[in-house]
Amino acid sequence: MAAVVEVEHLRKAYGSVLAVDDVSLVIEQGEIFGLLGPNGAGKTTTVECVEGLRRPDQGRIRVLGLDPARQTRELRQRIGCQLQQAALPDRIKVWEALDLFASLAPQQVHWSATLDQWGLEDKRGAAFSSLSGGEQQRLFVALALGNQPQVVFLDELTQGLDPAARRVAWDLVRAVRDRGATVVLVTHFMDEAQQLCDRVAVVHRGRVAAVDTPQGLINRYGGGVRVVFSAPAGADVGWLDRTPHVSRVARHGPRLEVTGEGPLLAHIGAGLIAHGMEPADLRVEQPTLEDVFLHITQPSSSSGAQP
Amino acid sequence: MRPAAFAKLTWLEMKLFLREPLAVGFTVAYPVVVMFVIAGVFENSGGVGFRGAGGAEYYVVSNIAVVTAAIGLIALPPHVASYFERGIMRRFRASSVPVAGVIAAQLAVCFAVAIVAAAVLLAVARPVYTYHFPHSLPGVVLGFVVGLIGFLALGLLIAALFPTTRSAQSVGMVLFFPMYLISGAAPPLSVLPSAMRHVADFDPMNYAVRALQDPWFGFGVTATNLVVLLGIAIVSGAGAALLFRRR
Repeated sequence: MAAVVEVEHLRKAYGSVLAVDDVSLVIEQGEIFGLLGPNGAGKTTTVECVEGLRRPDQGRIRVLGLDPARQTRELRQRIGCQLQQAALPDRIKVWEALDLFASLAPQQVHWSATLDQWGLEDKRGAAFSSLSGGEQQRLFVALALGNQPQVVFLDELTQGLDPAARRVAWDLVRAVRDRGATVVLVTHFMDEAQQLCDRVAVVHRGRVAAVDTPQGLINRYGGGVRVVFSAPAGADVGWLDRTPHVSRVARHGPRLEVTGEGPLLAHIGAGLIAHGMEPADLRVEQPTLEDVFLHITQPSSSSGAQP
Repeated sequence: MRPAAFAKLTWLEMKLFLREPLAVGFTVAYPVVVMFVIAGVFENSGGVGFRGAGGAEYYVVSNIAVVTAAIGLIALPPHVASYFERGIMRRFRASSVPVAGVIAAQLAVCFAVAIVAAAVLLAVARPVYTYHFPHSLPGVVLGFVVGLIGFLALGLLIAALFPTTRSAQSVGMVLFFPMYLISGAAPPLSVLPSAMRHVADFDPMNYAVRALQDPWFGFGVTATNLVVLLGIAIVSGAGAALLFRRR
């Protein structure tokens, strides 16, 4: 796999405010790479430096082998950007925007196909200001894909979309990747990163706190699997401590919470049957990216967080 | 930016302008209405106050300068400011349209609108009032173009200095009306009190009005008018370019 985006020791301050402290990243061809972090973590600034919209104070950036600060023009022809804060003139019509942006692409682009793909065919003649938030967002993505870019940057893609539209957007992002483009996704939605991304960088306070696949991050920072069930107050559960893979047992009133690693549920299930217990509410809680995120960004309060 | 894309952008900006009732009203309709009212009042006056022209003729010619000022001070600043304020410029930049390209397209539209608005003004005045053909047509065209460039540059400077749409619009209006009142396109300069006439020496619209009147009424092409307007254009244009670059 070839590196499509390389960022080394990026630093960017706005006056006295340090937006990006020290970010290094390698994004490989054909992956959906997520930048996950709380608001103000430096995600958008990082991406804007990579897109060539901002000039970094320090650090080296290469996108498709080009320097965004110097070879901006060549780069823009080959990347597509959906920006977090952007707009079009109120009275521009959807087709006019697509037509204009298509004329900027180096190759012939048939924008009517894009219109269908993003469910905007009914809105062809609608003014930008009359579109709903979700429709505007879809139009921006359609514009970002207009030049058939090799790398697509999507900043808060599903902001303002309803749940159904989010699913559609996710499928389209996968479709974009399947056509061979690399996708860089900036988001603060955990479920989006977990569902969509091949690899995720957790950005915190202007630095990359961790990079891995969502599952890798969960294994490393998720704090293990939790098995939860109810047991009567007097029941003997001492055997739980001796069950393989169990690391901790805690009782919250009638509810027992067993923390551990690996095939915890199977072993507990077997133990329960062996001890004549058949709790109806036995369930397993897998850690999510949200646990990882909380663990990294607020290490003290990482336990007990569930979506 | 390729020429084809620039042409498309300019055509789009033209359509956007036509969909903006306030901009169209102020640049095309307003000067016509004002011209009809004042020219109607002073139709049968004439003489020294109107620089030897008839009253109606004086106002028909002077209001062409009002057209250029309205485009530069009222229509342009909020339009440009909104592009920066709302992230439209960012959106364009991210798709290989440089800021200079967008502004160039907007200025091209302003030029086209100014020519159309001036033609409309002259055309609707024709059946109602008598006015003579310009003494020096090239002089009038030169005065028109230089005046327009001056006001467009001033409009860009306003948009650069007052980055919200609302403030750019207010500042443009606040500058336009006093400038208009002492420009000679409202009461003739000769009836202004002397103190006000001194203030009028600092009114760009005054120079734009005279840059049209002088060649039209046979006073020749006056260098002072053109130099002042070009000076305004260069200083404002450079200032605006510097400020836009820092965004």
